[in-house]
Amino acid sequence: MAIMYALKSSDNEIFEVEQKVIEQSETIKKMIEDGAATGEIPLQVSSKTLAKVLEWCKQRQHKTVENENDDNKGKRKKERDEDDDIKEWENKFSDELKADKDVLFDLLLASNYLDLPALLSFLCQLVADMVAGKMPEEIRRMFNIENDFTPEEEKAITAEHGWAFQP
Amino acid sequence: MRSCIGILLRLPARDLISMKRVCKTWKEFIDSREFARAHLKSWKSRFEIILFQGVFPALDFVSLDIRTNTHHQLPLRKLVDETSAIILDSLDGLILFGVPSSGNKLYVCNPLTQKLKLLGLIEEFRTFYKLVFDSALQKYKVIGFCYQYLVSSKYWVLILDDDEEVKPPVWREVESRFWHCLRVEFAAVLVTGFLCWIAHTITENREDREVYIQTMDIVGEEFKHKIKLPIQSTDNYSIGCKLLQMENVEGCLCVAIPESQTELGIWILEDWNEPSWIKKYNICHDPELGKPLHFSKRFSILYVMDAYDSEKVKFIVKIHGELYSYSLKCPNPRETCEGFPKFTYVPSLMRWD
Repeated sequence: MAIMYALKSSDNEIFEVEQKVIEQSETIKKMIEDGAATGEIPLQVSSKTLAKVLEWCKQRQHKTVENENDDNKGKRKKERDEDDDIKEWENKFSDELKADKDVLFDLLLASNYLDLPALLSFLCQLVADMVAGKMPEEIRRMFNIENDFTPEEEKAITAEHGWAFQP
Repeated sequence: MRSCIGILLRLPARDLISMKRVCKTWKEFIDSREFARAHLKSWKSRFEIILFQGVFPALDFVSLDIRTNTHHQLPLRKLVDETSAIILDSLDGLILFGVPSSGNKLYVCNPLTQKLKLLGLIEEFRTFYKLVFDSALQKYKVIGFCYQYLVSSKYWVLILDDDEEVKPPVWREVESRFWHCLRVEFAAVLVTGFLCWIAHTITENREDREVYIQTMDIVGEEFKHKIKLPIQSTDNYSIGCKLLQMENVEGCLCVAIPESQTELGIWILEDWNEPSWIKKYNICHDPELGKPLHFSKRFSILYVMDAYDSEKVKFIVKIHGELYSYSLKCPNPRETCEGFPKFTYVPSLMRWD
């Protein structure tokens, strides 16, 4: 019987999760090891975001377990099929995130806070692909960043790199 | 902040230039030396190929991204406001170039950040120039070699420094005699702190010549290894025709040796001290695929690796000014493109100071 843990989101929703799934998060793993995790584990992550985090972790967990059970025969073909499945799953996952940028950014922060390097790197690449080729104005809007340059300063940067800003 | 860094590191260097306009924090971050270094490190394997393109007098340099098949201008002529420029070397996004039309001036620049520095003049007696990185000084250096057949040769070193003075830096003569004959077509490769080139002993009889790889330690500025080639001269087709090519393949020294007119062997040096080579790849040309590729013609090999997918390892081979690309997954199909490739280039934000 798998050991289960209860995670509590910042809006007090409880998620029951297998230990193996949640131990991918270095932060939670440490909490468990330190014995700080008796009963519910409180996390500074909203339930909506936490659900996404767990979706990711379960998918990753699924993949590792299957690989362990494989014998070598037919493994290559299976791996190829699996790769396709994972790609498909990841595409769907990213499409959902792209459609809801608030969740995407929350998830980015959560992956950092929970120390999930694979998810963090996946999300960084996703955002980088969204950002590439965009104008500074669009990026400010996207990330909710305030333009703190004076018009003179902005002019100076543009002048410095002249040709680079030509479309 | 960590996620912000993660995102910026994954953006191509060209995009980062306009990202500097987003806000002060981003600009400061992108301008920092540490970021430039980290970015270069994660993009190093995604280099582009510099091509010399155009019709006289509008000749200019473009760099070609093989993955996306996009061309980008390298505005060298604009930087120096001259009509001609010759690229001498390219390293870490920095380009060493000369301008023959203005008294042979020698410059280093980063075409992306548009930083430019005059290094003095290209002297007649310094025939070859290499841009290297000194890991002890943490500075870029330029090494100028002299080629003189049958006469002892010399080399000079110049350190790229941060002083913003108008005065160009000073060349320092390091070794006044060395008896390694450089080939007329000097092609040196930089591998883990060593500059490597193909040299041969000087003998009266051409047949007695020993061809080997000479290395130079960049930090100590002295000659180090003398490495035997994987194939010895007498029986090999290529050494007789001097068709060897060297490359840095994933941090290893690699020699491409044509083994027949249609077969190219790619050898990797496994151990520097007890030189041992392994033949890692073999590129064969399938004559059924159009025009035959003859490795008997002058060629040069440029290596491109896809960091995200090792199955997509590609060799870019240049023969007769044309580019052929070989993917290891399906070794035969090839694409060609116009222009004369010679250097690889990684768009970066690196600076020499």
